[in-house]
Amino acid sequence: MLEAQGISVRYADKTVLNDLHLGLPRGAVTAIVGPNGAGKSTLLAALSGAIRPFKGKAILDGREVTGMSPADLAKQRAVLEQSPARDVPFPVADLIGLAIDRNVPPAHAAEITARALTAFDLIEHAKAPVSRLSGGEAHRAHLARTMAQLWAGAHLGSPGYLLIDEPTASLDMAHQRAVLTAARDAAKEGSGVLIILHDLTLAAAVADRVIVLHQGRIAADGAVPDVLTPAVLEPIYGIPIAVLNVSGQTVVTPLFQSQPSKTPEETGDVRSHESV
Amino acid sequence: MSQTGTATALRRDSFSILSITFGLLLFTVIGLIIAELALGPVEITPGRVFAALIGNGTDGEAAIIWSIRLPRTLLGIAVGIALALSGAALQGLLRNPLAEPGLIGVSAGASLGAVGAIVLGAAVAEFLPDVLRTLLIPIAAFIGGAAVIAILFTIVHLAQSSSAITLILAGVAINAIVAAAIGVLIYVSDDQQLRDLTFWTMGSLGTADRALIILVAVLVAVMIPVFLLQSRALDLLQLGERAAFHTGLDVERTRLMIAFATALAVGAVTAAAGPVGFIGLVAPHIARLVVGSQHNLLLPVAALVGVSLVLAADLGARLAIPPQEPPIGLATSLIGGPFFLWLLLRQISKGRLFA
Repeated sequence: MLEAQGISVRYADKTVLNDLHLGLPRGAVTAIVGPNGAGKSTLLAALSGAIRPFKGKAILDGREVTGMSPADLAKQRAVLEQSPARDVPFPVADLIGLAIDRNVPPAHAAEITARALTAFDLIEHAKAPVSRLSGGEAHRAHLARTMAQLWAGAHLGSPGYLLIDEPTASLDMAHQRAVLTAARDAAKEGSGVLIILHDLTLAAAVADRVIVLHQGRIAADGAVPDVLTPAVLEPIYGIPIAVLNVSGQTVVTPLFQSQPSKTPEETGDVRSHESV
Repeated sequence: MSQTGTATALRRDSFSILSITFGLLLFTVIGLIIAELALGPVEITPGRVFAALIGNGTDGEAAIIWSIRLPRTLLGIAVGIALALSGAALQGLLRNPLAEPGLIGVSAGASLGAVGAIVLGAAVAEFLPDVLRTLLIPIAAFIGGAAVIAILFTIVHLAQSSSAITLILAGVAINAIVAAAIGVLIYVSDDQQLRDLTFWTMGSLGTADRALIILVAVLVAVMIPVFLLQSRALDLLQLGERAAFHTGLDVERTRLMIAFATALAVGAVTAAAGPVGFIGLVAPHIARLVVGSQHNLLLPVAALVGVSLVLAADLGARLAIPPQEPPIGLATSLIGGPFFLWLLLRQISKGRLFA
C-alpha cells in the first residue's frame, strides 16, 4: 500500500496540498485529475519521495518514503515526472538499460529492454540517441525506461508502484492507447498505478478509480461513473461539460455552445475523501 | 529475441572498435612518454633511456632522466589525468559541456590557495616539520579549489540553472575575484617569491620539486578509481537530477563525491604545475567524439587524451625554442582558448546558451 497521511506541501507562502489522505492499493489504476495548479504533480512528487511534505508523510508498505534510500525506493516504485530531459545523449536502448537495477541478470535485463522497446513502439529507434528524437518519441523512450524500472523491480522483489505524470500529453492517439494499455497491464500484473491525466476520456478508459484534486484537496474520489459526471466536474472546471456513453465507453468533453447543465440527473453517489 | 541478437552483434562490432581506440591511445601515450624522456637539449636515444631507467646508463644521462625528465613526465601524466577526469565529471554533473575546472574558477581557487601558501606560508613554514612543508601548498590548493566548487554549486542551486551563461558568468566573477586576491598577494610578496609566482602562475611541469611531484602522482592515482566509480551515477545524471533520483541515485552523495575528487585532483596538480588551462575542456570533448557519452568509456578515454595533450603541449613548448622552456600553460591556453570559443559559438547557434 502507498499512502498519503495528512500530506501538506507549501511553496513559499502558497499551500499546494492541504492535509491530504489517500491510500493506493496494488493491482489497480488510479487516475488523478483536476485543473492546472490543483496540486497533482506535487502529490506525485511527495508520494515518490522526491519532496518532503511540510506536514504529514508518504508511506510505502509501512515505511516512510523520505526515510528510504534512493536505491531502495527505485526497486519499489518507478516514476516519470512531466517533461523529462530531451537532450539525453544515449541511444534509446541504453536509456532503458540505465533504469534496470544492476542485480537483474543481464539476459533478463535484455528481455526487459526488448519488451519495453516493443511496448512503446521504439524498436526502430533503439539505437538512435534520445536527443535526436521528436518530442513524442523522446517521451515514449522515457516511458519505456520507467516501465523497465518497474519490471526490473518486480523481477527482484514484488510488484511495486508506477507513478506517471501526464504520460499522454505529447503523444498521438495510437501511442496514448499504447501507454494506457501498458499501465493497465502493469496493474494486472500486480503493480499499483497512479496516473495524472488531463484527458478525462482517457482517465475513464484506464482507471479503476478517479480522484479529482482541486485547490490542494480531494474534491471527489470514486469509481468512474460516480466521479466523472457534469455535476462533479462543472463546478471544478467552471465550464459546461458533457459526459457521454459511446459504445459502452465514457467520453468526457467540454461543451463550447451551451450553458452548464442545470439538471445533474447523472449525479451518482460522490464520496468525499473521508470515506477512503 | 532477434533484436537481442543484433544487439550482441553490435556490441561485438563496437567492442573491436573500442579495442582499437584504446590501443591507439595507449600507443600515443607511450610514444609521448618516450619522447618526453628522450628529447630535449640533450638527446638520449630510447635505448639509452631504457638503459638509464634500469640503472645501466651513464651517470650524466641517468641524472637527466631521473632528476629532470622522469619527474616532469610523471607530473605531465598526473596533470592530464586529473584535469581530464575533473572536466568530464563536472560536465556530466552539471550537464554542460562547457564546465571546465579553469573556466569556472576551480583552478583559480586552487591557484589562490597555492599562491597564498607560497607568499604567506614562509612565515608559517619554519615552525612546520618537513612533511607538512611539502604538503602546505597542495593542502592550500585543495582548500581553494573546494571553496570555489562550494560557491559554484551554491550559485547553480540559487539560480536553479547550470546553463552555459550561469556557469561562465559565475566563472568570470570567481576568476576576477581570485585574480584580485592573487594581485594583493603578489603586491606583498618579496623578490624571490615574486619570481616563483610568476613562473608558477603560467603553468609549468618543470618547476615543482620531486617530493611534491610524487605526492601529487599518488593523490591523482588514488582519485582515478573514485572518478571511474561515478560512471553510472554520471550516466544517470544525464536524465536530470530529479529523474536520476527516481532511478535510484543518491544525487547529493554523488555531487559531494565529485566535488571532493575534483577539488583534490585539481588542487594537487595545480599546486605542482600551476594552472594548466583548457585540458579539462578539450580532452573530454575529443573523448566524446570518439566513444560517445557513456561515462564508463568517456572517463578513461578522456584521461588518456588528457595525458596525450599535456605531454604533447609540453614537448611542443620545450622543443619550440630550445633550450628555453616556455610554460606549458601558455601552450594549452593558446590552443584551448580558440577551441572554447568555437564550442561557445556552437552552443549559441544551437540556442542552448540559456538552456
